[in-house]
Amino acid sequence: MTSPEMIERGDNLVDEINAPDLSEIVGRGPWELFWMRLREDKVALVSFGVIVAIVLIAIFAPFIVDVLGHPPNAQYPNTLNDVGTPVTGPSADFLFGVDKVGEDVFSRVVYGARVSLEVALFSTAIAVFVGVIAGMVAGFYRGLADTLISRFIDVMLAFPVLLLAMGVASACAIGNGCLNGLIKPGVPTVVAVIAIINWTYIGRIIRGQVLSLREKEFVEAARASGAGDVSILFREILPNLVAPIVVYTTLVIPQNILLEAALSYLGVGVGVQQASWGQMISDSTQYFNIAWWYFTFPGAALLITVLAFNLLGDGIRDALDPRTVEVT
Amino acid sequence: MTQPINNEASNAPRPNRPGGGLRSSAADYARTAKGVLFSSMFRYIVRRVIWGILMLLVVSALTFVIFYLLPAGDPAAIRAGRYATPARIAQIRHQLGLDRPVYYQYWVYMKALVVHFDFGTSFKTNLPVGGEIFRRLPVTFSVAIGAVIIWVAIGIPVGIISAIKRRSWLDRVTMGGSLVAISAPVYWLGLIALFLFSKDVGVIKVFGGSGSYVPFFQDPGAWFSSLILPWFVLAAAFTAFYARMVRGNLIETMNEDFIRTARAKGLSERRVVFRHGLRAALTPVVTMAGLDIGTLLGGAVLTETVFNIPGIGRLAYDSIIGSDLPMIQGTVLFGAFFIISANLIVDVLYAFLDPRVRY
Repeated sequence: MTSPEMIERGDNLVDEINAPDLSEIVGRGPWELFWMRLREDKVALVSFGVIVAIVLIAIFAPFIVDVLGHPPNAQYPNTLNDVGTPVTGPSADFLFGVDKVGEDVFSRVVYGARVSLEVALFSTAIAVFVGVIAGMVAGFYRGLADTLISRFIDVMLAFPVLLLAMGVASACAIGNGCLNGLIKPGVPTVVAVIAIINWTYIGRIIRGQVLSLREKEFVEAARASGAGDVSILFREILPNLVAPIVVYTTLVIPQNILLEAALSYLGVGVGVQQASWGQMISDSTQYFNIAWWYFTFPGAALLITVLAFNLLGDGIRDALDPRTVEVT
Repeated sequence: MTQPINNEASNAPRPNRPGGGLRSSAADYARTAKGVLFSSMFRYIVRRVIWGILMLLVVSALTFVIFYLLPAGDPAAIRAGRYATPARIAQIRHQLGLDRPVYYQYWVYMKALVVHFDFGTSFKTNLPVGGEIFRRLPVTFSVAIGAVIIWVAIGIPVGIISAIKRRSWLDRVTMGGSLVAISAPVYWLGLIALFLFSKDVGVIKVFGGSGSYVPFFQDPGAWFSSLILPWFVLAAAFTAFYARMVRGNLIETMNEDFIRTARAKGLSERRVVFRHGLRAALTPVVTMAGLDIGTLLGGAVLTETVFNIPGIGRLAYDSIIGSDLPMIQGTVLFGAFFIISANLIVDVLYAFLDPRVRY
């Protein structure tokens, strides 16, 4: 990471800080500056801690449930009343109460973290990967490739997103999945659906960035020294895209957590076998006036997770560019 | 909400600029320039409308392909009922035209749509799709309008105050609160609102609860009461988003040179903020609001589902769950129509309002 563009990027940052006394500025790389700023952001650090805790909960779900709860799919009919209403609220035995079939809400909330994180991380990774490649190709080669990709993105953005997601998700949720079993029902379907509707945004952003980057001197220099297209794209341009990619990723992870929950809420999510927060909130609708714990805890888990990612994202964005107050 | 601003306007080819040859007078020049401006503006609008129609065609074709390649269930089998014989299912399939190739079905669909403005009939209810959607349009419109008013009336002032009182406790509290509002799932907020305030089962029985929607012209009071909770729940995340956006834009604008100039002229701070700062800071907000309203008119699926409001979003949800293909197609097309129209209107308004936009 000591190529000319890093030095250039560093110069830009120094300009941007608009320091009154340049002599005090020691040669610090942009990432060093980034870490320095992020370290001072207490809110971001706390949210990072919360995210780590949630990840640990997801990984060690079986152990946690073993100690504090019951197996997530075990049903305890004696916790329901005669007509099958969940009447057992939070207690020592069932920390978060029981749901409509007498399952332990606590255990399901803990296991729900797995689905939520799994879907959000994989779908974001795929969307970012596809978006970056498409955006780089469109912005770098322009011409026909650009027209095709950009117009396709336009069409995708004209779709009512949730309807498209619901349609594809419900289609792939039955039998062997869709595209000849390539996309299996459950988590893979939801990941694919979210990735499909998400790559367009980053594709657009990256295309715009590459359009201006490709005209920069360091690209010309690389070309003059005999570098090929692939080498220029990945060794010269890609490192300069790291900041927008990070910014976009931090923006979209919480969104994707909410989207997975929304799909599960609408009944086209990962399926009933796996505990999902959105699914639990959906199931609780019938009993929301009796069993307040049924919708409160999964919703709170969702809120805390999304909020932590949003706060950390805010911190990362501010640290990457102290001038930027809001990146939308 | 993350829909980026459509930058179609800046990508479009530039028109010929006026100015070939010497002008006899300034007035003459202005008149000619204006004439050229409007004729090229007209051409721009026409081009955008044609592009919009093309997009709708592509969207409809894609919807068709997606829902035929990936059927969520065999519509003919669903319609035939549980105990139907294979022959009966085949007969229904033939009646619905589902045994024809996809492109032929699409052609039949588009012909009816273009010639008779006919969206087909629902597989489930046998009612015309167009009529059903138009019947529900006022409902979705009712949901959207209240939410828009709330988020504009609260979000923008909160954003302005936060920007002016930057880093104060007020700023921190509102910005922290707004992030919570953005992070909360809308249907969860809906359940909490119902749990606390709905007339039938709430802790404090004040507003209409789930499924209490009545049309405005039937009973305005009940209409209002039934929509209060959905409005606030739907507006929550938008309000927060707009407050943050206004704050960010205004803070950025207040660092611009023209603000320094305005201050140097000796204008009062109030005048600098409201006359000079806000004008620039609110332009992208207006753009965003236009696009969000367009998206909402296609149906607020989650809000309409949790509050059981019979709008387009609820219709779309029901039709997707029930594999009601013509209805899905209709609701998707309507949603796309509103999104594309909102984009078009926003871009054209932009071209009118901002002379720097080259169209």
